[in-house]
Amino acid sequence: MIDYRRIKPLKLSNGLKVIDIYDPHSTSVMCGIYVPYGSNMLEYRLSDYQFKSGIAHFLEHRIFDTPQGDAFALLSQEGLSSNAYTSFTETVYYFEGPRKNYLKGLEILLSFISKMEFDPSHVDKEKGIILSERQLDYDDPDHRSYMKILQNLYNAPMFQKDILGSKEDIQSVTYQDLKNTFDAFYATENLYLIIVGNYNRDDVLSLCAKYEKKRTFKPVAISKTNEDFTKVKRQEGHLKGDVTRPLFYYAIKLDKKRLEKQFSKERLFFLLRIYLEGNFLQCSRFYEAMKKQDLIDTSFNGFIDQVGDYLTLIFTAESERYLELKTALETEEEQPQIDEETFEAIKKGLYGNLLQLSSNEELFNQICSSLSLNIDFFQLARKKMQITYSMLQSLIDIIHTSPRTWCVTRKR
Amino acid sequence: MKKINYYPDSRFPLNYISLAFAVKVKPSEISAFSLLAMMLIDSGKSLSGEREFALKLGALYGASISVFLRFYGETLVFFVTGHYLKKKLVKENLISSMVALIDEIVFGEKNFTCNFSYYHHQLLEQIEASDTHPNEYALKELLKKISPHSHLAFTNYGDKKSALNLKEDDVIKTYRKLLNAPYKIYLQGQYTKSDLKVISRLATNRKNDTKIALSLLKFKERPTLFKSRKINQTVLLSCYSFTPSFDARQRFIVTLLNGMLGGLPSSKLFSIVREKHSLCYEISSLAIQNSGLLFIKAAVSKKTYTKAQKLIKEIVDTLKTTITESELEETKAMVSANNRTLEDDPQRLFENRISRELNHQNIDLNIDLKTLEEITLEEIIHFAKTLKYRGEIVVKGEEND
Repeated sequence: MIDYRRIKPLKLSNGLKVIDIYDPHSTSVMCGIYVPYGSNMLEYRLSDYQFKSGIAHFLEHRIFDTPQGDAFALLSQEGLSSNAYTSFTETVYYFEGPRKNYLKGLEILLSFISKMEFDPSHVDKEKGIILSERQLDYDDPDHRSYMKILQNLYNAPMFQKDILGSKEDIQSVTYQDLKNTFDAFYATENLYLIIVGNYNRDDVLSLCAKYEKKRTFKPVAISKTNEDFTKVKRQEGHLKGDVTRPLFYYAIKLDKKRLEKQFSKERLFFLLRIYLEGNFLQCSRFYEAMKKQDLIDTSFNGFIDQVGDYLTLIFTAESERYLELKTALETEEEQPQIDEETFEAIKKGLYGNLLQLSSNEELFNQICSSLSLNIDFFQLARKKMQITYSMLQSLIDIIHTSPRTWCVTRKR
Repeated sequence: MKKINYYPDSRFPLNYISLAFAVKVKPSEISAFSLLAMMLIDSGKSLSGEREFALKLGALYGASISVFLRFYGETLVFFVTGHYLKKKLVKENLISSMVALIDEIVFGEKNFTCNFSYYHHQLLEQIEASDTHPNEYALKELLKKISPHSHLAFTNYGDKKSALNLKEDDVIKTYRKLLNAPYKIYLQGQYTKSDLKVISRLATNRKNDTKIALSLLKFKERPTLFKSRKINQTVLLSCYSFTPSFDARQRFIVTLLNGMLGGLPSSKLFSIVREKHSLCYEISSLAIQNSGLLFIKAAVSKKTYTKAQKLIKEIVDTLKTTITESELEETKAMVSANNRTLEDDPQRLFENRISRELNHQNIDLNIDLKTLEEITLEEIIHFAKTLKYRGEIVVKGEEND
């Protein structure tokens, strides 16, 4: 079992930060590079150069193409399965496989992360693949509803374009655009190496020193749009899609900075989880009552969405009676129901969830979440979540005054 | 303790417990079992109310209980599985509470509340919702034509017609059938003798001989279907069949062929159709071992789907002639690695151990991996030649974007 007290990030002389969880009983290793640059971080500039929307995702597709061959295939030859993803705020490359081959895998990973070497003539070829992926996203009503609700809530440029980039930006990408992005955001100072499982730390660190020369992070973030957290951009939204029942999204816009100041990042995250569980989800009387009235079924869900500085509570449901559900959600907020006993049971469950992480993949993903949300979940597991019932009461008061919006996707 | 299969494992923070019932089912019965699965877990909740149930699991440090179905040919295995944190981590032994909850959910006959209309409505919604996803829609439409029984392999909800005709009595009869079915208890983690004694409560006076068998699917025609939907991408789905087997060597041959074709990122479909010809983003193949079915699916542009179709057929043909030793060795390495890495994931490991027992496979992975190494190129080519083409569907999109 993992001893959480031993997890300490390490900064190497080349600027690369290493986060590792060693497990001597593991038969395998999961390893990856975390780049804190996502698809639509449009606030960054490099002198006069402006990065295109979706460029991080485009680079993620192309960077595997190395002079030695496709890095996916090279990792496969070593018996290592690999993949990558790009979100709004980060790009992550990873592989997983048997202990005996992980150093070879790390070498392949570091070689394509440290030097962009693909053939410039391959850039145009990739555009068709990415546009096909973008169309698949458009066929997904959940994806479209999610984007729509963020666009209803925020003025921030990052939400105004698709996570894969606008069609125009994808079609106009050049080799130089990708090179600029790589030089700017794949600087060693900007990267994290994450490794979990049964590895030798000395071997890992010496390989990182060999492959990664110090590269400085140069781009600057221009001042972001001043988001007004007291109101939303649009009160409601309507879409048409390939759905059998109307797909309903309801969202509350929260002032993250203000809330973090009051509760701390870690506490805020778990207080919000308790608020959702205890007031609206399965631990709530609301859920039972809505089910009895046939207003919700198993499609009803609520979750916390954190993207950079933007913190949102989102509820989703498939329901013909979505307007009644909207009213019920609004009414419910005025009558919070979490008693102290419920609070303690949910808190215990959340603490248990932190201790349950066991596979290399779960631990790896938790580290990525920690970096993305800037929350030390492992610290939380150590401290047994110091949150109180009165903190929850204060949070509920703030949520009730926060602005909200909704969106529905109906059958074409 | 013959009724309990216990896999001691001290590496993980969680203990696992699962009850696996084996029931021979007709296609028309699937929807009733599906509805029963929903009800049982909620019936457990309704003993004290769904909210109370969720709070009970929360107070057990986020313990979890789930009910799900798996198909082995015409045998359905009905799983009730739970996990909870070990005593060492939380200084509390949660075993009695977990066993009591599982006992109530499965065997709490007296408390079985049949809120039929609610769950019936839920089931029909689930069937309807699965029709909206383009891939699932394509799969269902194709299977309906080529083999009416083959949906046993995929859908946990059954077909719409049977679901619509379901009555409350059917579900109660199904529950009785489940209670009379043979079952086994599986455990993984660290259990003491007194823990096993607590668990044996679940095994008293009940049948305990879970047996499953595979059967061949029957195929009707070899159609090419054309459908259209208001979606952007065009979905291509083709189906091949093979003889299913529990034999470890034969199952690895299927896995290797599927890996080379489209089951792995370095596969032929991915590297040729996507990477070389840039015809799509999504393309892969999927082998369903217990039903003897192999699918190839791709999401492509309306303008280029015929080119993709042609390429896919050519790639399947190359498996019968031109695969190389190096391709085979690389795929073996990946398959072996995938099997090894699941040893580090307690959930997947537990499911794999149960599945191997049910499939009459050796529980010792090392013995099986030796078999994998022995497989030759000739065996793969021979198997590729036995693949039978069963039909395909083209779901045309509109490309509005």
